[in-house]
Amino acid sequence: MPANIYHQSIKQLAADEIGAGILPAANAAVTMDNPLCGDRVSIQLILEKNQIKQVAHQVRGCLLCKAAASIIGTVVEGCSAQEVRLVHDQLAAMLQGDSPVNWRPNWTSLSHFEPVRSQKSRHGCVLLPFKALLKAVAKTQ
Amino acid sequence: MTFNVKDIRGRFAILATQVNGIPLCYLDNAATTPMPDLVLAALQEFETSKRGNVSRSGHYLATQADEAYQLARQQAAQYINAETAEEIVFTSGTTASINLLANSLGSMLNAGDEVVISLAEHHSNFIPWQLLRDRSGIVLKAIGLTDDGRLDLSTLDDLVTDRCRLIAVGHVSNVTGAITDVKRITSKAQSVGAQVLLDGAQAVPHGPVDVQDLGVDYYAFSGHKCFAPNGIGVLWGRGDALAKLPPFMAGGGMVERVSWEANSYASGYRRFEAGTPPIAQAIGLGAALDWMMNLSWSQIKAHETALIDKMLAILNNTPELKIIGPNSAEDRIPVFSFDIAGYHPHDLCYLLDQQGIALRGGHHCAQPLMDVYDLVGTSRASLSFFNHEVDIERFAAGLNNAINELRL
Repeated sequence: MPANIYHQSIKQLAADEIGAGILPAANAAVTMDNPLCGDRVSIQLILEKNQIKQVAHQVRGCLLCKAAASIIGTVVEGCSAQEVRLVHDQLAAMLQGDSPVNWRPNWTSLSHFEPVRSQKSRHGCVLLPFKALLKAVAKTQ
Repeated sequence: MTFNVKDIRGRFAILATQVNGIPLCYLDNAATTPMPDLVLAALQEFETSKRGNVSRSGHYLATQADEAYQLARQQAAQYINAETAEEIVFTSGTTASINLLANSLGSMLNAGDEVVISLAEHHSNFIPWQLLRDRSGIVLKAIGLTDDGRLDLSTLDDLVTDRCRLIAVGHVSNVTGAITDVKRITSKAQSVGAQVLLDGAQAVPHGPVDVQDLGVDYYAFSGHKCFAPNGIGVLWGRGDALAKLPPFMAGGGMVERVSWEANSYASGYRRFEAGTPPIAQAIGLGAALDWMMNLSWSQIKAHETALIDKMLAILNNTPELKIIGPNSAEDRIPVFSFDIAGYHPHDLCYLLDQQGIALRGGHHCAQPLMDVYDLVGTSRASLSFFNHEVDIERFAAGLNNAINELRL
């Protein structure tokens, strides 16, 4: 049987919707869709001097997508563009691999997605908010 | 032949599949259907004793292949009551059929000519017309939807003018299960001299079609949605309509004579079947349609109606669940899309899958329809005549389990 991907931490993160909202003063805004299921993530951020000052997101998506957006909302403020890229790549590698992960500081809550590894059809759900974040950061560069 | 669901189920080996050690409960027939033993046997027979190319060589195997391929064409013609098999064009599926028409018929339209589709259309009957609009300047209009998932035909008189050249809509919605009031559409089309295309992909698996009675000009459907292989479909065109269409794909088999100076093109379906066709797949389709033609459809209709009533009862008794489609068995097939407030289709369908129950969650290649109802997607259960009450009972229990699992 596959591992339970809907454990309490994931459900709580999704319900908490940390960072949900709109950021009118954003200097970058991106909307991305998952073409397979129609999920939609919008991210707005203020990035100054290579540091994310503020972020907001709107997610119309599954629990995994919402939980991933909540983790972004919790941790990303203060991160650099490079940090965001490293976190995305580490998350993508974790989902594809099967080795233990030494998560970057402040991002250890991404370990909640480790049960999703074996469910390839759900990787996109976890990664969508991070891809949107990367795209938003790229817009400021 | 009396309809017996247990006997029918016995013909589908894949229904014995186990998912996580649990017997499969397959409720995703609108996405694709399984193939029964007789279709698999037809494929095996072709590949082991008749495999040759068609309309090319004259040796024994080629002749065997040709006869089998043309028999499949006859079987397709019979299933939809085409006047002759000359009107049956084999394609790779509904998408290819509609793209063929959009390009071929489309090349005969002028800027300002109008094509009417609907907001319920599958992307395969939506995007080809948008592309035609973008490259040729035709005016594209769309019929809206009612609250219960049907085409809003009250707007037909406003939408369909004397510039309308084609109305292209689904015979049955792949999302809502609603059956279109085709007679109303053809009546309006005839009043302005427009033609009608029906996307029949979802209708064909639920019984023989009569294109004469429907009064349409073109009809498209896919093999893999009616118990036949992938990679095969049909575009039927009424003889005189098909005769006027120019070729779209070009190559071997669709010509009479090729020269540097000028070519002459084959007649009937031949003009539209360039290259070596999907021969085995066509034979598989013919076998499936021939089998279906001889089923007891009055009994199947009664069976499906009972399934519909039972499903609707379950859906209507699930808290916070909204059915995206008609809430009765009238003028609909057993395809059910639903939204449950606070529960995403992807999450629900994942947990149903863990219990062996196969649904589809998402936009179902019908994003304009989702926009009408302000949804990103729905969960969709789509039944066939091989489904039985046990499947519905399992669905009910599985849905309840999934909701409980997702609750915080």
